[in-house]
Amino acid sequence: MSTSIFNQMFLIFDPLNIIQICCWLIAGVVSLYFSVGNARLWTSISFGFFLLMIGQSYLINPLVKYHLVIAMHHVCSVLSIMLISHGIFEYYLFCRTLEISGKKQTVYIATAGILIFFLCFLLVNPNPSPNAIRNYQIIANAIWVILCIANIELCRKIYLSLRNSSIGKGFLGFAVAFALIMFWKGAFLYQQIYQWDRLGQDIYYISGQYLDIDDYADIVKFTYHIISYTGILASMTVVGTHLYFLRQLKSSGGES
Amino acid sequence: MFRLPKGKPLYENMGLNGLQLPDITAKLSFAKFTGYVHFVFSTSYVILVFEFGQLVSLMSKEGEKPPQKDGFEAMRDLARLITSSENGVISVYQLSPDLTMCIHALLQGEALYRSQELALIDIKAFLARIKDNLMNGCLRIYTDERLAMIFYKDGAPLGFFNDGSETIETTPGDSQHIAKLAGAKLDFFTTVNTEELMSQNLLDVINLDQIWEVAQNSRKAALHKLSEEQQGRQRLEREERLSALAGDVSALCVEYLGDMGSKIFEKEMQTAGGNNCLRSMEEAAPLITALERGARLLMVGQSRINKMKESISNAIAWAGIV
Repeated sequence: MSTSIFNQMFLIFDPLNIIQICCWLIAGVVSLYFSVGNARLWTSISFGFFLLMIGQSYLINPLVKYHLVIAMHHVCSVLSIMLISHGIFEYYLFCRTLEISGKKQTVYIATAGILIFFLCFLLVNPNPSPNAIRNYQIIANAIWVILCIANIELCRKIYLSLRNSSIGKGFLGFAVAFALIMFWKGAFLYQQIYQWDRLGQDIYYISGQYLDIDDYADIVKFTYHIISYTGILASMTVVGTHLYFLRQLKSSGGES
Repeated sequence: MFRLPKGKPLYENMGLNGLQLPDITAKLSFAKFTGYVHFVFSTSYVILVFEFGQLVSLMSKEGEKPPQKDGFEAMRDLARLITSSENGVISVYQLSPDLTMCIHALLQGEALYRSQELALIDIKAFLARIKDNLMNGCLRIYTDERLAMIFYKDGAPLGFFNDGSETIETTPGDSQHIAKLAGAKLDFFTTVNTEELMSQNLLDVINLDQIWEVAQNSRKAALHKLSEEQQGRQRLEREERLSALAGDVSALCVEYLGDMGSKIFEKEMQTAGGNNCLRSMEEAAPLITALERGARLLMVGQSRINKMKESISNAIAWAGIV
């Protein structure tokens, strides 16, 4: 595995990444459309996917040379999965108790508040080093993996409640998406734990330490494949699920 | 029913709506009325006999079989019939004091003979006895089809009252003929003279105001109970219709929203206070808004939501439950 220059290491114009970011963009826009005129729990889910698009846009963001910017991308990424999980959980509660309560403004205000807090936090503290950025990423990936596992179970239960309606299949799509994201982020986390990721390798080499990556080259290569393909599949699944919801929304209007 | 000579009719078949029994007796007493007042109801009649404004007798009879009542019981029956009946009429006939006395005898006099076969008595001797003893009263001769009455004062005939006539006549008419018919019977009722009759005023003995008040209160209680029963029936009917309407609306929610639709409807209906919220569109508005909110969560298109709302509105309007 070759090392990369720190300043350019995030500017990777990989075609798969371009497709991925486009899928996240479409999913984000459709999600925002759903959040308009709907209850709070769809706002949480939709706004969460929109923030996910923001979080993943570091792949094409020219300002990522500033470590503060990439740190905020990771914050957006974590916030997105937390919002999505919050919305999924509220939807599960709705299926059980039929309670629809809360204001959308609360979601917007809380999200803005958290983003502002972390921005201030980053500004107050020293400029994050590559090692600090990597730590942020490890935390983000760990949160993603845990919440994806929880969301898969919740989506399964929601699907069982809404089995007879068209929207139930949408939540099955979400479950598949979360499973793919779990593998995607999980593989990345696995790499980061053993410092097989590019940044981890660079830190090792710069510090002059020995990394036994060559003894596990196949595994490392396999995890890179998982990251690449599950990432793109997850983004395509999410956009497919959102387009399915959009189609249901449009087509259910004409039926009697 | 009793047939009595009409004398001089002051009122005939006047409706009883709005009339108060104490007022009627008070006016007749004040006017020193002499005659009788005839109340006729669907299956009952009551006769009040006045002599110079004093109520000397009253009699009530309901139906054919029960015996007639007099005194306090008759007055109580009259009060009850006036307050509860819708078809009662009153007739007031003025008579001479002597005839009134005979009417009193007929209603409540002492019966010397009752249903006595004419063939078994010496009618001439009987009539002589009436004359000799200066009796006051009423002699009634009748068969199954015919009737004739002779009124006596101090042993002398006052007048004759025959079938088909409404006034007192001075000639015997058919009475002799009826007496000769096979199976003819005789009743003779005697009473005291007019002066002695006037000494007893039943209005002084019977507390008419209290009887009237009790009758009115009973009527009000009966009407109240009837009203409550009717309201209860209406309430029950309304409940049934509301339950049916709730079922229809639930079915509509399932049709437009799937299985979750009925659950959302049940829950929101309970939140809105039960199926009473379906009585009108105004009351159902919050429920429909909540259903719309739930439909959006289930990713139902706006036009489908609008159709659901229209269907529910039509169901509520068609049910017309108030």
